[in-house]
Amino acid sequence: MTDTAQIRASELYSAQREKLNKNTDRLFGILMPVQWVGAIIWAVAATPASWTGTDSFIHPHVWAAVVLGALITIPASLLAIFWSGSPVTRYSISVCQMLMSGLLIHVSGGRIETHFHIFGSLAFLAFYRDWRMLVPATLAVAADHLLRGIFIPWSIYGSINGASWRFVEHSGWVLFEDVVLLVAIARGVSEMKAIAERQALLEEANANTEATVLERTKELRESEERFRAFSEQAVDAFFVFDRDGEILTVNEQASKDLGYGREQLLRMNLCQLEASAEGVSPLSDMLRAMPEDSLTIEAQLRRQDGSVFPVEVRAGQLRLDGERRVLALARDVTERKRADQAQRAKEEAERANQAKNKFLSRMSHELRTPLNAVIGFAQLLDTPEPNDRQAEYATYIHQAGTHLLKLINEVLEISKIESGNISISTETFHADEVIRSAIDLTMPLATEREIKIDMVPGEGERILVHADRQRLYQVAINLLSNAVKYNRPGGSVTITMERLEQGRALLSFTDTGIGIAEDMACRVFTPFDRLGADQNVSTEGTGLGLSLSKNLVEAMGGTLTFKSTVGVGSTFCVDLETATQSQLLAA
Amino acid sequence: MAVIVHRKFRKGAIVAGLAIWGLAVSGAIACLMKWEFTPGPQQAWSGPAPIKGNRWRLLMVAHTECPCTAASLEELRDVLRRSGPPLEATVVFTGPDATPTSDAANVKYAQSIPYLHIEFCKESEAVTSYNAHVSGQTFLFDPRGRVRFSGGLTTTRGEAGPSVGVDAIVRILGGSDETRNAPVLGCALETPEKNP
Repeated sequence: MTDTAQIRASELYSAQREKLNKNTDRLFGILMPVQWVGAIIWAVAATPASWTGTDSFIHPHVWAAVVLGALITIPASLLAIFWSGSPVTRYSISVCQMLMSGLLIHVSGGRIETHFHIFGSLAFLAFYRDWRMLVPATLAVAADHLLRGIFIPWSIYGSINGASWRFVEHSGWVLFEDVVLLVAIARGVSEMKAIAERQALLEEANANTEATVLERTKELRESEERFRAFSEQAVDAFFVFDRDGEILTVNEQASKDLGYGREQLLRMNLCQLEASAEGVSPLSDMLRAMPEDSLTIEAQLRRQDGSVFPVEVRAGQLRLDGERRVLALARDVTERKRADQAQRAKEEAERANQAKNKFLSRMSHELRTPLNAVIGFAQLLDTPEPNDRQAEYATYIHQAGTHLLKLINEVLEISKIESGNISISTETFHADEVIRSAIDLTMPLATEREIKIDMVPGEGERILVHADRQRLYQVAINLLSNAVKYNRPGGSVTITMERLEQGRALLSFTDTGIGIAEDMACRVFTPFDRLGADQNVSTEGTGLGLSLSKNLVEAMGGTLTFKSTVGVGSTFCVDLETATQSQLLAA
Repeated sequence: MAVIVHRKFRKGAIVAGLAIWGLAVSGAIACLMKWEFTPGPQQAWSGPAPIKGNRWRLLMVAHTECPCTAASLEELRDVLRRSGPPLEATVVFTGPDATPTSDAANVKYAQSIPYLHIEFCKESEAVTSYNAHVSGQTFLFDPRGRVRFSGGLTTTRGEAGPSVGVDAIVRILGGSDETRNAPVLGCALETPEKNP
């Protein structure tokens, strides 16, 4: 126990003792008048009157009960009422209580039973829990017994027999009770001190607990202020959601980003804020899953004005008031998205520019070579009669010129398509006719490379399509020539035709070539982008064929798609509109 | 200084109060004791000459209502128990309702004592016939009619127990040739004369 607690225990013990003294004083303040009245009643009942002949008068015992009783009772009671707690009061009560015992014994004619009043009085005096109160009481009893035992023993013992030794016996019994009461008083005092010590320790513990609570409360308040300052100063919108998506806490930035007032937001739910894209609501899904670990997701939020903006949300779980909550920091990434798009566009433009530069570089070579050939062979043919060799040279000039013409035509086509000036002339015709013509044209090259070309006709009747015959022919040549050029020696090209639902037909060109890597798939239809060059395939080409074909098919109302597996081959699919009944009739 | 004066005054007041209170209590006790110990007037036998014979005779004059006399009757019962039938004892009651049908506690008690003769007389007769003035006045006559004891059987008012009178009677009945007197403590048998 600390010194402070000991001092406090001492104070509590003193206060308790003072309270006990006052309460016991007040108890005697009531008890003594009751005894007084009892003594009077007893005297009146036992010896109401004394006689002189036929005249009677109040018995002196009654007067003794009244007068002596008053002298014993009134001062002690007044002290108990008006001066309770004072030592004088306690000692006076101690003596007077025993005198009252003596009076009662006297008016009862020394009845031995009345002596029990002495023991009862001592027990009452023990209520003070102070051994000192027993001393004057015991002395008063002893003195009373001694004096009356000497002079009027019958008044206290009921007879004069053994008056000399009965004083000792009576005093012995009183002392015996004193010893018992002293033990009880000692225990009572010990308990009072123990209670005071426990109370002091409890108060000390309470004070310490209170101090700790105050300290923790201060720390908590500071922590809350830091948290609030952090959340208010944060550049990101700050939310705390419950499991149902109800918003529990927001910061000022959230209010700014969303255009709602803070109080409005606190009455809203996440589902009112999140803008789902194609039926997907990442934030709501995350809230339902309530993940243990923090995660970062992208989502879209809707402002009060209805506009939607992208956000990157860092969310994590936390416990507040014993409930699981979700803390979310949402950052507006509109500018970053724009920057990303701009960057991608820039990279795309740079790649296109690079491709164009490559094209121009290649075109420079491709144009010069045939032109040089044309010029050189033209010089060699500058004779009146060309021999066989000169005729061969003339063939070379024709081929080079033709190639140059094709190249120029494709560039022109691309230019037309890009400028929107392409003209499509649709008609109804059998698709296989066009495919076969294209196969015939490609067959020499395929034969040269030992590549087999097969056309698998569709089941049932031949397929009539409604398209531009020349453009489809051009597309078929492009696809077939690519299938042959990028095929492995001894490979094959298979062409299938099938009728689809809803008036569509599908023409598939499948090769067994090198295939196209997945990361290059997006560049297949890019003009001037020759994937073969990146794949170290030494094939000639302009990088315009597939781009041109795709644009032509789309101009005819169809689609050109492909699927490929590296090392297995590729399949290019042309989806076209079949001829309707009215078109057939018109044809 | 004021505090010291106040304390001294208070202490003095307490001591003075205790002294006054002690004196008052002592005075009251003294008055009580004076009453308890003051006997009535000692008188000699003035009645008729006792009948001579071989028996001892004891005569007590008692007040029917005197509460102190109950102790005297109790002592009388003790004397009769110790002496036996050879002692012829008589109680003469006087006072209010001194008749055989009296409901007085003393009469009822006397009637319960074995071998005790009970008689009743008027107040004046008790004084004139026996010269008895205090309730409990007892006379012991030997077989020759001589008064061997005159007095009370209690040492104080209303308190039973060994007394000079009882001891003397027991000794005389036991063969002692002494003649003893003892104070009588009890109610007066004569009604004071009232002024007209």
